[in-house]
Amino acid sequence: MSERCAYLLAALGGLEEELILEAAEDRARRRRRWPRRLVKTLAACAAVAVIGVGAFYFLPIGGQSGESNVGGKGDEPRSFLLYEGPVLPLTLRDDQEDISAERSVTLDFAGWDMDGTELLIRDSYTLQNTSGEDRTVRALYPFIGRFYEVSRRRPVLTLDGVELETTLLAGYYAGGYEGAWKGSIGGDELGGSVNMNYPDFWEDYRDLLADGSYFAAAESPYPDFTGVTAWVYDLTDPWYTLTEGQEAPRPVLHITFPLDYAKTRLLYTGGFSGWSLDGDEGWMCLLYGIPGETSGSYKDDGHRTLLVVGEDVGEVKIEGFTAVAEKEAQPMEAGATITRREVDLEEYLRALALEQYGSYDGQDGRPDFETVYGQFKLWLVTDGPLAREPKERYRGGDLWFSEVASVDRVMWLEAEITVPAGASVTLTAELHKTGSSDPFHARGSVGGAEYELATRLGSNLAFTNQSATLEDRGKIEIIRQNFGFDLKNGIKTVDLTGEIYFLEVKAKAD
Amino acid sequence: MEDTKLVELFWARDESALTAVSEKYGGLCRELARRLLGSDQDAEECVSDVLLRLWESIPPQRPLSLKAYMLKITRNLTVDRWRGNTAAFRAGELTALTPELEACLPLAPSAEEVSGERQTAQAVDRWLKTLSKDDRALFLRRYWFGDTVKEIAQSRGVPANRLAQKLNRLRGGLRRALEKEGIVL
Repeated sequence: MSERCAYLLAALGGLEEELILEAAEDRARRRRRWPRRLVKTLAACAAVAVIGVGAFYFLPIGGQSGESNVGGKGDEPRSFLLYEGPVLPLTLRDDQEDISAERSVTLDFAGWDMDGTELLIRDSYTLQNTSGEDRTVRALYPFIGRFYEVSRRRPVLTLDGVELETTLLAGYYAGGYEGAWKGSIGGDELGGSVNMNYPDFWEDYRDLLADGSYFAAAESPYPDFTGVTAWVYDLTDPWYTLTEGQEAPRPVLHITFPLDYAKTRLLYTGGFSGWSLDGDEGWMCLLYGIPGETSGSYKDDGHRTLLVVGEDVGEVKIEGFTAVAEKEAQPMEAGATITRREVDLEEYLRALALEQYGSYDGQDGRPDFETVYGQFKLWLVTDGPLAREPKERYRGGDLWFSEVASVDRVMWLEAEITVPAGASVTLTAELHKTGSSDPFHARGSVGGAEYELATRLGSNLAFTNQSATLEDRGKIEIIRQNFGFDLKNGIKTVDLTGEIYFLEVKAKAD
Repeated sequence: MEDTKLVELFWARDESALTAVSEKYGGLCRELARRLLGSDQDAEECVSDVLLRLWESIPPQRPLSLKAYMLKITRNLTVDRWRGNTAAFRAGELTALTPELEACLPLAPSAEEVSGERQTAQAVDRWLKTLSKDDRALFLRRYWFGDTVKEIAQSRGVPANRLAQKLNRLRGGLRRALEKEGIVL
């Protein structure tokens, strides 16, 4: 955030009261909004109603013949357990009234197989400049994915066949959280945020991208912890002594300290086997098993680190017990060396993140460190242990750097292009898309892979036409679709006038 | 109770004015603060501060519209709180607004003295009055009240994309107006 911008925001506070009241009246006239959850429920009810009137092939149940290659045109997309989200349309950073676009998408099954289910997509845009001047614009190509796979899944952008240099812009986690009992009887009402609730339906992305706020947030600066003091407690050289007749194959240390959760947050990077936090009594306890001599191939020297942010914790107490399970635990002589040091939170987290970043898959095309680190810090203060109200999942303080790498998010590749006066250029994005699926037929699926295409979602381009071409390569049978492809009658190119399209396929029987 | 009677209670230093005004406009102020900051607790504290500020400022002030007066105080206190610790209020709409408002900033040499907030507000007032009533409300709902584009679109029954494009044009218009008036930020 720039100071100038904050200044303007503050200055708007001094506007004339009449104007404020006028806008307040406009707000008061707002219509009643349907809660999103209710809308989804209503949509599900509507789907049931459609099935009820006899369109049995909309949700085929195992054993249906592969005779029909038309599929269910007019059907709706559905939710998936493993949902990959739609292919999204190109957009421009700034609105350009003089530039129109014609889009043609090819779904090419050449390298596709049912096990890999990766589909090659060529998403091509002919951008026409109707003005008398050259237009240099910043094109943004969105795609849905996770940091850890960006090196493999990053789309390649070309302009008239020449590869473009792109920079990557990342949005925050696209999903939410849910309670441990969600889905069980009465469980939905219990709420909670201990589990991830990933997007599983295209409308989740529609809600995310429709008003531009998600993209705007992706551009806002990341938190900066420079100058924030934190304390690191290093626990080293754990030891224990067995008394005569005592057995303790895995002695456990209980690290207990007073902690006011409103004033202090404790972070750590793994290695603990459990934690408990008593907000009312104001204490926290971490458990870790003293590593034995046979700890597998991973050599564990027993070093554990705690990072204290906010007010420092009081006296740290270490006690030894014979087992993790509380009922079986017996006190025993055990302990570890504790040292305390002061650190700058920004420097400490940066070093930690650099270490973790080194384990990222692929060196080429992976997100740059500053993006990953920035999203890590954003997670810390938005949902993670430094949030005002952390999700239950993170209240213990474990720094789940891997979570930042593995959650679904929308990313954009940005490139500068010039469209000459009165002429056109062709920008093509080529990407490999994994199909959405329901393993073990969890949601009534017949084991197909599904691909979706959004036509206008999140885009400010003025499209003159959109079309899709299916290169089936004789490899697939269509299970469900709303594109209108008809393999039997050779209809493989169709115009797209709707908002969302889907194609669910399975491998063609030999 | 009518606003004029409420103001009279303040002038009479009658503490029941605080209860009455809180019942009448407290929810509105709380909703505004919560929306802009994204925090229930801070919104609650803001409303308490608003009541305190009312008590301190009336008298000598005698606002014509207590509703607008309270909304302005709420927003100003909210923005102050947010500027003091932007990292803590990322979930609020103020954070989402800043990248959009960047497009309104006039291009100006940095050596010039920065225009005062009042001078800037008056320039924005003048520009707002050149707009249609609908566009004026659209701009203020987004950048004063922090309504999302989607919410405004739903309330007006128009596509969000169209409103987003209109807001983009309005931001450009404000930037040009501020430049024309020689406003330096």
